[in-house]
Amino acid sequence: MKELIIISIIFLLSLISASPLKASPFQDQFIELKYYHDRISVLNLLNGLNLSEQQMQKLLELNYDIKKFLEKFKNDPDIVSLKARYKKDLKELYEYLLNHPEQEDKRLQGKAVACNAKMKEYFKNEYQNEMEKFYNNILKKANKTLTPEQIEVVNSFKPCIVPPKDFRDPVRAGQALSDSRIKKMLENVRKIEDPRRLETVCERIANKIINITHERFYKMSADEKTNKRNEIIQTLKQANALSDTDYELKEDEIIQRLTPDTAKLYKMRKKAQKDILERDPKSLDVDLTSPVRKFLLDPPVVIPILEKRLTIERQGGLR
Amino acid sequence: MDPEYCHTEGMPIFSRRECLRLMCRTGAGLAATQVALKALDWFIPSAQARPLSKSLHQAMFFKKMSRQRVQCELCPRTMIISAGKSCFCRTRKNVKGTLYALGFDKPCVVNFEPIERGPLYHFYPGNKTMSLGAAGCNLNCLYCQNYELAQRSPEEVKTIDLEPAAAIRKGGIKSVTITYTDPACQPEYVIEIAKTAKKYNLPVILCTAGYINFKPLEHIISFVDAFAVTLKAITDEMYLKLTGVHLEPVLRTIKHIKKSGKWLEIVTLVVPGYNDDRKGIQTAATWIRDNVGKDTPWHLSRFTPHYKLTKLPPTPRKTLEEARKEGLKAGLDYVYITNLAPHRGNHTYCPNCQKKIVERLGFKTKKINMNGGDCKFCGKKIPGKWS
Repeated sequence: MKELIIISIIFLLSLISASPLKASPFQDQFIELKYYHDRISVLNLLNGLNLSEQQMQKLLELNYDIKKFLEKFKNDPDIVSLKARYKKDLKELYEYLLNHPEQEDKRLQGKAVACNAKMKEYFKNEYQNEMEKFYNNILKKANKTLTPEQIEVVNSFKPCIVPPKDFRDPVRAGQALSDSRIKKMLENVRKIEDPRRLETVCERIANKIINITHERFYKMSADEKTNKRNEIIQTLKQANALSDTDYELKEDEIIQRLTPDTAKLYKMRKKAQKDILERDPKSLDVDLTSPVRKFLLDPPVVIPILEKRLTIERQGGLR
Repeated sequence: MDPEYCHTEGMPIFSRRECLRLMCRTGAGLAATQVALKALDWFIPSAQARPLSKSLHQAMFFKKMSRQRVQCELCPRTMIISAGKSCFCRTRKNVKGTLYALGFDKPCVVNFEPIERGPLYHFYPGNKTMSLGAAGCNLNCLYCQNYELAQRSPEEVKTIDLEPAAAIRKGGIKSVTITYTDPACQPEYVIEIAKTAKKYNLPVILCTAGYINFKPLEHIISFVDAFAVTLKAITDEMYLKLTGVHLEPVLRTIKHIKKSGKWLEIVTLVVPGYNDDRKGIQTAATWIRDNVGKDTPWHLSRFTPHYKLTKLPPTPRKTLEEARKEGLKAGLDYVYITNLAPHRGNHTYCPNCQKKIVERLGFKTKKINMNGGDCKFCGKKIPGKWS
C-alpha cells in the first residue's frame, strides 16, 4: 500500500515538477525512522485536535475510501504492464552504463525516456482527472468533518516528536506566569546591569537564534544573517533598557522580533505554490500541500492509528 | 579552703558576694539600655521602621485591639494579628498596631491578554485586557497554578514598577482585570486601580475565589463591573479539603454579586478524584440555576497538575464533556469547557435556536454572530456585555 501511494505521488509530482526526487545517502535508514516519526506526529496531532468519536470514525471511513481508490490504480493491467516494461528498460540501460564506461546508448536511453513519457501520458489521460476529482471530494468531506478551529490547528501543525507547547500544556485561564523559554530569557537579559556582560549575552543569544532559524526554518544569506543579528542585539538591548511598564507593553512585540519571521515562511510557501501553478495551471486542483490531506488522509499511517484509537475505551468520565 | 573564695589559677578571684553584685549590676545595665533604645525608637524611628511607614499603605477593614494587636475583618478568617506579624494571606501586616496592605501598588505580574483568559466569555468578548495581580492569597488550594505568587508575600517576590495610567494609555486595552492571585485580599489596590481605570472609562474585572466578608465585598462591588468567581466544590468537606476554607462564605459572595447586578461568571476547576463526582456536579449546577439563574455562564475548567497535586493526571476530556452535559441537563444555558481547545464546549450557543453565536479557539474569539446583544439567527437576547 505504501509503495502504491509513493508511486502515485511520484506520478503527481513528476507531472507538476520538473526536478527529480533526490535520494539521500541515508534514505534507507531514514525510511525506518520516518515510519515512527510520521506516526508519532499524527498521534500528537490527534491528541491536540480533541476529535470526537464520530469525527474519528468519519476520518477513518475517508481513509478507507482512499485505500480502495488506490487499489483500483494498483490493479490496472495497463499500469502493471507499463511499470514492468519501464523497469526492464531502466535495468537494461543501467547494465549498459555499468559495463561500458564513458559510453552511452542512445537507443536504450530513448526507450526508457519513451516508456516514462508513455506512463505519464497514460496516467494523465486515465487517472489525473479522476484522481483530482476524487481527492478534492475527499478533502471537502474531511474539511466538513472537522471544525474550523480544528482545521486551523491542523494548518499550523508541524511534524514533531514532542508536541508543541500549545498541545502539551496550553495557556490556562488565570495562569499568571508563562514558562515560555523566550520570556524567561528576556527576563534574564533585563536583569543584566553590566554593559559588557550585556553585549556578550546579546551576541550569544543572537547567534543561537540565527542558527536555529537557519537550520530549522529557512536558509539565510550572509547579509540576512548580519541584518538579523543586528536587529536581535538591538531588540535585546532595548528590552534591557525599558521601564517595567514599557516592557510589559512591548513584550509581545519584542518576542515577535526575536522569533523566526513567520510572514517570510508564509511568503515562501505562497511563492512555491505560485511557481507550481505557473508550470502547470491545473496541478493545484489537487491540493497536495493541504495539511489536512498530508496528516489526516494518509491511509497507511492514519488507518491503524484510528482503528486502534476507536477500540480503546476513553478514560475519564464523572465518578 | 575558705568557702567564701573560689580560686582558679590564672583567673581573677571573686568572693561569692562580689560575684552576685556584679551580676546584678550587669542585669540592671542591660535593662536600662533596652529602655533607652525603646525611648530612642519612639522619638527617632529605627532604620527598619522608617521605610515601612513611608512606603506602606494602610489597609482597610481592620480593628485595633489591645497590646498593638489588630483584627483583620476582610475575610471570614477574621485573624487576630500581633505586632510585626502578617495575616494568613501574607498581604496584610501589623506594624505597631496598624494593619498595612503590603501588596498595594506592587503588582508582581502584568499581562496584556484576551479578556477571555479570566475566564470571562460574556463580557466584551475579543477585547484586550490588562491583567495584573499582587502576591498573596487567603486560600491554600492544593492545585494552585500560581502558587509561586499566591502562596507568597508581596515582600518576597519581584514586583513590577507599573504606572497604571501609562499602561492604560499606551496598552490599547479595553478593560482592567485584577486576577492571578486573589484580589479579594487587596481591596485597597483594587479600588485604586478601579479609580484609574474609571478615568479612562474602562471596566474593571475581578477574578476571585470570593472568600470575603460581606462589608468589604459590598464596598468592592461598587468599584467593579464584572466578576469571575471560582466555585471550587459544592460540599463544605470538599471545599476544606481542596482550599482550606469553608464553602458558605463563597456561596454568599456569589449570591451577593448577582444581586448587585454586576456581571458574573462562575468557574469550577474539575479535579480528578476530588470534585469530579456526578452528584457534586449536578448539585453545583442546580445551585447555580436556583440561586444565580440559569443564564449565568459556568466554566468547567480542565485541571493540569500543579503545586501539591502534581501526581494527578490532567482532567480527561470525557470528564469535562460529561460535566458539561450535566450542567446543560440541569437547565443552565451557558456551560463552557475551558483550558481544553479546540472543543465545541468553547463556543457560545444560543439557548433558543442552538446556533453557534460566538466561535472561539481556546481563549481567542474568532467570530461573533450577534447583533448587539441579540442572537443573529433568532434574535434572542443573550445576557452579558457585548459591545
